[in-house]
Amino acid sequence: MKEKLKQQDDFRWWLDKSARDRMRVGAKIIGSHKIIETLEDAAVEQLTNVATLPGVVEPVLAMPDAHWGYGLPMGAVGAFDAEEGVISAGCTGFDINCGVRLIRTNLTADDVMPKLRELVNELFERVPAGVGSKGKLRLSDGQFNSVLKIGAAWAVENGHGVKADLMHCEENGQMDQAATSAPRITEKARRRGRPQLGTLGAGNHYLEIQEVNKIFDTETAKAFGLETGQIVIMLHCGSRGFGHQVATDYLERMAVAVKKYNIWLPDKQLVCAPAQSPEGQDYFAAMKAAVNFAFCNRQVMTHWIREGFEAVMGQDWERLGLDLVYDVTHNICKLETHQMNGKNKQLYVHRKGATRAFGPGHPMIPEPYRSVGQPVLIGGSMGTASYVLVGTEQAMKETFGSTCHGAGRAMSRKAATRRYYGEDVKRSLEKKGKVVRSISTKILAEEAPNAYKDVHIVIDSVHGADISRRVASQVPLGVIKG
Amino acid sequence: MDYEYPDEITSDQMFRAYGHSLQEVFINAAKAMFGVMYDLEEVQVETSVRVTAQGETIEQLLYDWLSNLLIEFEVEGVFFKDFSFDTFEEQKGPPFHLTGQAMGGCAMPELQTHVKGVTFYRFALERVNNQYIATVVVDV
Repeated sequence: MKEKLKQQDDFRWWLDKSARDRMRVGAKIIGSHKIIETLEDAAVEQLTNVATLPGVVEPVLAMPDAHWGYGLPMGAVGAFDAEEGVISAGCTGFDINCGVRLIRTNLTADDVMPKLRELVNELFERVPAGVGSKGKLRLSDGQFNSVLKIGAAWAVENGHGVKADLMHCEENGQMDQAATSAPRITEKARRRGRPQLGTLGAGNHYLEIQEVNKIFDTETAKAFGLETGQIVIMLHCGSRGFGHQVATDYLERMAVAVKKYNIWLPDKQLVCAPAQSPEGQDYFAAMKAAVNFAFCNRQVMTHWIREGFEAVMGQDWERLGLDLVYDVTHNICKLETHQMNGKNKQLYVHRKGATRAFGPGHPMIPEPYRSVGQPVLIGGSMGTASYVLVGTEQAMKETFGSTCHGAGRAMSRKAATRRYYGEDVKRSLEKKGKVVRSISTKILAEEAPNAYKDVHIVIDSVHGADISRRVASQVPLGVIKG
Repeated sequence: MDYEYPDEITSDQMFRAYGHSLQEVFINAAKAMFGVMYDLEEVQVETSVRVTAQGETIEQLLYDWLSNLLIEFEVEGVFFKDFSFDTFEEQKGPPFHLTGQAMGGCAMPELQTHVKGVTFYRFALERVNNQYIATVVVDV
């Protein structure tokens, strides 16, 4: 399928809808030539699969970090007409509202380095991590329903944050009209998810203490409160077992729906339902509950991170300046309005490993940032650079206001564990002065820096295509993993 | 061979499980799934958790079995190693039902990754030359 790609310019490639049978629309890949060279043919084929679904809007998009996954490739966007199209549990994936949060500080490396190991150990103790990790919160049914309904606001109302945190969060930390009870939310999802509120998880999720090493756009960085040499904290995690179970429940329900509505699927994973059907709206409401769970999850952990810094640095977190820069989601389905052929159109935009990147002036951007554009937080692979970007008008015109989400894997997990040993990865990072704590060292092998694409090349592509622009880069000093 | 991990799919993990009966392939698929997360040999069996599953097809039964095992793994905090069935109603459906036991221990082995869920991508249960083959891709 890759051989059918037509290069449009240095960072754009087009796959016409004639590339295969039943494609309703074309597909676009954002990426430099180097990106395309390593893009798997199977990932391109997966784009064409999504392009066959009812009501799909042109184009189906792959970002430069795209790679072979299931259903929609990881690092891709599929948008559907809100009236005529479908909504797909399969396109959104399991880790609903997996996302990234960035917290700034008033600290520099000079302040933190003498206490780095102590800080990492403190955070490792305060933030539960690892497979099946259980949280410290014990919630009643009513409290849990409240988490699902109001997301991060529940955490703030219960002493885990401040109101300003909500403003600096995509969707203000909650999506309205989320489901909270059966039949939309199953007992399985509640049982699996409730104990995991306030946990980091495992795999590629992490908490990092980082140093801003470069500023590319001084004015925007100033608006975001970022400067060279500043210590920031990046948190990457999602909706844990709750979201994973909501996804599982609706994969099964939508498998029934595709038969009921006679929807042809080239790939069983792309199960979906007409967006306006009861099944489609049930999923959307349940998905929003998982979104809210994840926002609350990251907010609760923010509070513990602040407490950890207070304990080690000996000052209140407010004096330390631990304010939230922003919180973005990169696995979600949103109902958004976008311009199509000069008209406003409501679309269900599925971002799977892709981040919203709204441009300047958009009303959904918090007021302090509105004139410059939405902060976009890009986590690099473990031990490499991360980035802060800003959303652009071009993204609004071209990619449904979307950009990449990370470095993107370059190697399968099995290949990574064959090539790397967790202990060696840890030693190599520590030789560079980084402090690493993880529940398991084997997991570090899968997450070895070289198992991922070069994040700088990914960022070059989104910046070059102008769908989001470089503002700052950060390097990790301390890494905490499950 | 009970199961293997073909080196495909960059972001997630595929496995293929084999068996001469449906019960055997279901057991080996369960072992393969947990083998993605840890070495089963590191687990000492000390307890057992009852797991049920149902499906309109045998394929859906397999999907429900694997998905419900993930729930019990996370909720009960037991690292599963072996599996058996009390009832396996492959002739009586649809719908098809099973009740089984998932056996394992609570001491955490060295973990490799985390399985979030069972996808439908390339999900298949086939019978080839008197052998059942289950192909599953899990989200990690």
